[in-house]
Amino acid sequence: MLKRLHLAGQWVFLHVEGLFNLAFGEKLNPLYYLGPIAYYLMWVVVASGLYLYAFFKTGVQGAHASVEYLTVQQWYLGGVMRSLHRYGADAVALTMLLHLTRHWCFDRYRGFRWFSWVSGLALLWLVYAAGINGYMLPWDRLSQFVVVATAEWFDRLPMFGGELVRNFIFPENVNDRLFSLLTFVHIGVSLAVLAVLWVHTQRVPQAKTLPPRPIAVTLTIALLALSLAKPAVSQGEANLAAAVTTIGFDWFYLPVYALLYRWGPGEVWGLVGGLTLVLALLPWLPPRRRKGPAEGYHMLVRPDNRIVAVREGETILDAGLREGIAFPYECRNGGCGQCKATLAYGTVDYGAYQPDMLTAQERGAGKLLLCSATPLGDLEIDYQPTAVPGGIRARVWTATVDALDLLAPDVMRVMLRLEGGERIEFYPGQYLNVLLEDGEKRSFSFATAPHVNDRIELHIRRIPGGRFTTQLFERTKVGDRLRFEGPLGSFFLREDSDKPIIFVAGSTGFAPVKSMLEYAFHRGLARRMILYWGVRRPEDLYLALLPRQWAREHANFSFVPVLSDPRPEDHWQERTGLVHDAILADFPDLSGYQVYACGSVEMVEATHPAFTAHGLRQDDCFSDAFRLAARVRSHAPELVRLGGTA
Amino acid sequence: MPSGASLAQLATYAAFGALLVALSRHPAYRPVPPGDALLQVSIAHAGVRLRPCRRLSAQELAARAPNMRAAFKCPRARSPVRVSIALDGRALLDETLAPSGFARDGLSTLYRRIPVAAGTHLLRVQVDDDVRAPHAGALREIELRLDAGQVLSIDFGPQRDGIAIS
Ligand code: HEM
Ligand code: FES
Repeated sequence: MLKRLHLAGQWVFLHVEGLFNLAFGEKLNPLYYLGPIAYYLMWVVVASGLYLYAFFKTGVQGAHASVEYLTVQQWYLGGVMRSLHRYGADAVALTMLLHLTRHWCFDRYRGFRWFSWVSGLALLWLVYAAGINGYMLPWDRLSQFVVVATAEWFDRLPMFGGELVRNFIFPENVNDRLFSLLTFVHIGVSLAVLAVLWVHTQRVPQAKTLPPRPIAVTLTIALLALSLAKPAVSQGEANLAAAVTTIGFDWFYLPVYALLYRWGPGEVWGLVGGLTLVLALLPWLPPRRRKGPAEGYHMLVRPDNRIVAVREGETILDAGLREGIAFPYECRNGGCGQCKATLAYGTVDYGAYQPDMLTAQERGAGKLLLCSATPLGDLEIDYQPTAVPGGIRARVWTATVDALDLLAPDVMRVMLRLEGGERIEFYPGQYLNVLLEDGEKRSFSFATAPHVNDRIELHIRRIPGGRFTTQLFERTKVGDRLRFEGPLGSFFLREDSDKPIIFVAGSTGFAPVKSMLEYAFHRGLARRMILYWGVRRPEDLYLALLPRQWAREHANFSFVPVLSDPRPEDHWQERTGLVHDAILADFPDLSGYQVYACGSVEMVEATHPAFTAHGLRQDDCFSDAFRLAARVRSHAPELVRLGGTA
Repeated sequence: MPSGASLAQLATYAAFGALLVALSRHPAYRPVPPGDALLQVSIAHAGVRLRPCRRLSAQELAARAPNMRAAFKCPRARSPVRVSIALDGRALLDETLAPSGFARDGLSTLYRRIPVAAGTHLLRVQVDDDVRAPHAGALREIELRLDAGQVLSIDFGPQRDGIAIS
């Protein structure tokens, strides 16, 4: 039943939105920006209200006259402001209700969205409180009605004891203090709306709180035109000796008041309270349509090569934005096609969207809309980045091989120098793609920190049978030329946290760690940092002297090498076993740490669940491994690595 | 020549504006039926104390802690207040209002809004604030002309000389 209502609502919204798309185009369709429009209108209301307040006289004698002055004498500004205030507020109510309905129809209020829903409900109350209160201020016939009816209504509540209304029906009780109070409440509640709005949009990753500029401009012009053509006016001064018999009525804000004399105050409280209760509980009421396990799924995102958790019911777009992935998007409502991407692996619920934006053919070819689709299992997503973190654009570079050093039997250090003395900017932890002649690419992390940008250091491990690495180890000479694209990836050292960092490196996963650590030392970061470097044999610790030296030079850094496969002749005295076991032995509770894991997929796959089971927060786990190994189609072995091993 | 799309945009915004204008004032609402006047009955009055204060005997006083030796003991409960209003001999309202508060010592309150047809009427208001002496309270009977849309408020209280009709 509920589901059918949802579907019917979706049908209506999608069809009306489709019509709007014809008129406005997909990117400027106001229906895709209901929340941001309501937000913007709220600012319009606040701004025009401030102007009115400057002229408003908070007294029985002055209230009506001062508003009349604004409306009549100062019609060109004060009157326009008043009308903007009125129509803006009406439009807030209208767009807010549509916004609420849309989220409900598209079933976007359960699970983690309860926070937005419940804070939205608080907004609903506050917006109505402010709006109704506003109608009390001009002290016209409508004010009289609203004031008395409100008092009658509130008198039903036990705390007022039936005496409240006496303050409003006997003229001698209505005094200037009352107007000061009403004005104070009106301004206070409106400011509370702004405060709760801020809270309301906190949980939505990169929430748009303003509509695109053309929409804001057109909307403002429309409201201005409306204010000039049909100014908001008062309905005669209030007079407590005369009954309010017929009044123009604002049905956006006052419908409940029309029920008051039909039903009685108790019944109206029952309706409003009951409705609020049901709405507040809605996110937890059946039918609960879980799309998967409560802990959600994981997705691998390329070209960032990051594994990101997707919460139950969350769209792929939201999950990515939450983790700082620069997914392209515009409308967030399945209407613009901007967020189209490729589903490389896994199954999704495609969600509700405009059929034109994702044709059946495209869907067949593996496309999806990130903003509409939710995962039905672990996923792999490929998207076309349009922006890079920090605004550093990737491009193609040419470099010459400056030095080749064999650091271990199967690890080569390659130093590159950019042609023409160019310098490259990147974030520590990012990577580049070496472009092979046949168009294939191989990814390697920068091993130097960004401040060393006249040369590039790569650590490359030989992959048995791998075409590129075999060539590199056997035929490449100093002076050879090479083309690559970069910088790439959103895996880099985050400086927005003070938590201690645990770096986990497997084999040549040391390269990005080296870049991040050298950067951290260079910047003088005071955070505690611990590096666990897991390899099989001592000779695989191909640059072990370097971290040992760092540990001597920097009090906030320590280094723990871990061998998984030491032999007696190695005389290894330090830690052995699997690197994540060593970490968990040292840090049974990871909730206060950040973990940067760089290395083979197998290593990251083994460590990730173990770490989260020990309290590591999803937001504090960063990794450069780039596939969900067990489930992935087979790749050329060399592809499946990134500054790490296959 | 504007394109079809921009005409459609214009039409959409026009419809949006029309909706705002229309629903922010129409349809009109009538809280009081046309041609009626409004009786507003609002009473907040404390009934008399059910039992009078009593002077404590010397023994009773002696039995109390020194700081509790007030000379009088006053039972707090008050009488309910009965309000009846009739218009042209027809009862509009007849209610017995319990005092508020746990100890039943608070005000008895009543608020009613009663639309009545305009014209000349005989109004009879009776307020009894002591259940032990029914019909000994205040009574006012007046003939008055009510215009359409007029508000007539009815209050009761010693500070308003009993029943106040204004
Ligand atoms: C003045 C009133 C309101 C304003 C200005 C407002 C604004 C916004 C904005 C800007 C967003 C983020 C972008 C979007 O999803 O549209 C949002 C999200 C949301 N709003 Fe509101 N809102 C208001 C009232 C409400 C109400 C009354 C409800 C429902 C009770 C509600 C429910 C939601 C939900 C569930 C989301 C989260 C969407 C998600 O996580 O996907 N809002 N709101
Ligand atoms: S963002 Fe517009 S369709 Fe997804």
